[in-house]
Amino acid sequence: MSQDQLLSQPTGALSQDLVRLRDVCIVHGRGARATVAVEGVDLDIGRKEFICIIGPSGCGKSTLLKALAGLLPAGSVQGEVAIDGRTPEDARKANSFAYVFQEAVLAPWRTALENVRLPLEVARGRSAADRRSPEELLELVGLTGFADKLPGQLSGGMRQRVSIARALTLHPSVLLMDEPFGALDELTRDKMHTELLNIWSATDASVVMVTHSLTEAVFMADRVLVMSPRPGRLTATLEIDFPRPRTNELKTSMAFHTKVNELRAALEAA
Amino acid sequence: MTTSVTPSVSEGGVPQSADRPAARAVIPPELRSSVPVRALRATRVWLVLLAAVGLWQLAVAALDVPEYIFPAPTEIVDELLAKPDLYLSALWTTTTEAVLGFLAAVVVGVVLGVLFSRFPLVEELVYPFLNIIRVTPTVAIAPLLTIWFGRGLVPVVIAAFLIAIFPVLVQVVLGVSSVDRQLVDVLRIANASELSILRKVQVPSTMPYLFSSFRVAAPGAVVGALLGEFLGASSGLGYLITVASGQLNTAAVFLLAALSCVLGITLFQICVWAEKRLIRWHPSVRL
Repeated sequence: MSQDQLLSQPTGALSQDLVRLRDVCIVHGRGARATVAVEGVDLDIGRKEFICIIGPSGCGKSTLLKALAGLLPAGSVQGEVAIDGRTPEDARKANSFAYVFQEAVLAPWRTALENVRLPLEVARGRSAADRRSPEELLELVGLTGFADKLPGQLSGGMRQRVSIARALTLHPSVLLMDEPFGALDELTRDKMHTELLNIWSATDASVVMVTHSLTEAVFMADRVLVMSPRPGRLTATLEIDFPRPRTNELKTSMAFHTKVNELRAALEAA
Repeated sequence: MTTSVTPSVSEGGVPQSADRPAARAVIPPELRSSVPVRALRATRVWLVLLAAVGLWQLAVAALDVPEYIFPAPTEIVDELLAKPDLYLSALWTTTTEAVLGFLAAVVVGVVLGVLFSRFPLVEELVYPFLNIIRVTPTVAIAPLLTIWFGRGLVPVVIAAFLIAIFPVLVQVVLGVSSVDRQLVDVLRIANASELSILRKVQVPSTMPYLFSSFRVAAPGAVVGALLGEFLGASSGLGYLITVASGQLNTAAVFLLAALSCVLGITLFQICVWAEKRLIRWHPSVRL
């Protein structure tokens, strides 16, 4: 799908869009050493939408997420980025989004529960009514019995679940996930896929997830965006309309494999 | 072949007849050594020490070594029992000086370390000069301290401080700069203030580095205090060493050296104990 087709989405939906990117370019470094990481990205993400971004290593997927989160140095992001009509900086101050990294990134001196509580202790953007109880969130990710365990005593999958619970404490509008299951083994990954979908259906957040896995993208997303190698451009969009809730049985169906092959073809053409 | 028992094939492909029960693992009983063996294991280091001291006593007696060359352990103990007040008050003086120097080193080291890691320009402009002070022998600096501050507590505390501060400073800089950047990002995304990031992430994750520096800095402070007393003081273990060696009272020199060892080891052990209590989460402590 070309850029023009991406832009030709019904314009009536634009007003409700949660995230809006127009002509976004991202440049790393300055002067002679500068490289263009992402170029000419247009993207609209609706409320409670699940988006996956897929592409070869180093194509700028993670950079795009960081730009959304306002984690990149000033001046490196050009073009228009709006989250809920705010700039990324203002959206960050209003605690509009949360970030899940490939590693769980927990504080090793805090228990699972204390790690989930960490954003509540420091946040200044969300009112008390908008905050979620850390105990309830631990229950949501299935770790009730592990509240008092230190990260060093938890398995990789459990740590990542703690980090997902932590991301949900401030009731984010957008959950940005950078290969959240990349460090997990395949069995744990399969389990986490359905669990994340269940967790997501219990919230009203949109998810933007970067991944390397074709099946993961097709299984999780409403829409898969394909990125080309450097400089990263969105070259295709794949609508995935399998009914929800989705279970692991979907992964064995013929229609699923057809979608995965379609995505593979789109990636190779990128 | 009788057909009453049909051989079934287990998953491994090995035929298993129905009359052969599945193997069950036997849990081996816990092995506990007898009480004398455990007692020996717990005390063996001390037994070695005791044996060495006994051997020393015997060797001095057998070879008839004069006391002013190499005193026997009993002569050293006699020296302590003869003048306990003198030696214990000297030990107390040195302890106070070493602890004050150590505490000053921790405070200044942490403040400078945090400054260095947050403002690279400060590090670039100040660190080279601190390094000059570090490589200058304290033996050369101590007489200057006496000239400037007179004989007494202050120059000795400064000498202890000078030896203790560098391990603290180096480890704090290392600790603050090896903080998990992604964890800092997690707090930034939650819109945390710089002060919160310092309190919630940077301070706790620097703690293991700080405590490991104490293991070097605390005995170092004792060495610094002794050196300060040696070169210009009128009390303390170091001062008494100069007096005793002048009088060729070798037993007293041995006793004073032993008391200095005890002081250094005690401070070291207090730091190790505090480390184990305060940072149980760190892998180096759990080992």
